[in-house]
Amino acid sequence: VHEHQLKGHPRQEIADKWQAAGDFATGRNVNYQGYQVLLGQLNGLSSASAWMLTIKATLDGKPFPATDRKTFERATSFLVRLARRAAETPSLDFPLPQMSPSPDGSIDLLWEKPGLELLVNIPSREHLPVSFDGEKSGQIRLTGETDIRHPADILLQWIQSP
Amino acid sequence: MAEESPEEIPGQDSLYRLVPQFMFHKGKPDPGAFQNSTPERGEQPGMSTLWSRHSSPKDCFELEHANPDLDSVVRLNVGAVRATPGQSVIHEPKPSKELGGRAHTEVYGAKPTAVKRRLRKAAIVEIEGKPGP
Repeated sequence: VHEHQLKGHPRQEIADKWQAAGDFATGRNVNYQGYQVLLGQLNGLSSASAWMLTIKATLDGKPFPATDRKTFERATSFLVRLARRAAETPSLDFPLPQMSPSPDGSIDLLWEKPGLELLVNIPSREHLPVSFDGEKSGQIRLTGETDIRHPADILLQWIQSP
Repeated sequence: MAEESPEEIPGQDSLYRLVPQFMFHKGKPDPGAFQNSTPERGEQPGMSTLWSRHSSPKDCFELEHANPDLDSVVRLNVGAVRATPGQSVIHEPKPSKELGGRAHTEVYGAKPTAVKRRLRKAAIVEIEGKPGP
């Protein structure tokens, strides 16, 4: 990531929001040490993906909008919630997705490993639900929508699947 | 050059799509590369491609805003695109090479998450450019 592209990007502010987003009470046992490690990894992903906040580009000859900071924060908060859930599981497994922008201003989160593909889309409009679509072993399909504040359990099950 | 009349595109043919550098990571296009671009007033939202009958992958680099040193080109089978829910492949020749010329073809239809993922999966990298940031 080019540092100049990060100018004005409140990394600490976002990190604080992440912390808050994950601090909802679940009544479950949480591996806090592991959770902190996951937060650190997510902070790295945020920094590496922050270029999308300032990008000036075109697609099909039309302007490609820079991602709105609020959409970016919603995407990172969504990941923190998933990481928090992961910290409640014995494996603590939480592979990082690839974050990328879409021309409609939304953000795509893509998990890809042998035999598994899961795409989650964070819309630019706050009132719209998060949508997802995936495929496992070329046979099992997963598609649907979820509340950004309460990610469906099936998403983490897929992300953690071997 | 005069605008030519559109033709019917056979399912076995291919479409080439330019993928800008910022939408190409880990040797593959990002899902967002298969989203409709922002339409101008009065335009139907679509995804621009070049039809293989009238173009080669390298012709994508003649499109305006293309960067041959950085961008990538992927290929999509027309039948696979048409089999993706809600997608139609329409030949729309343009008067200049910078706009796609005789090969210009639009893929119309809403592209929600499931469609983006399937189109990305169907895409084969023809020319690999530089990875994005």
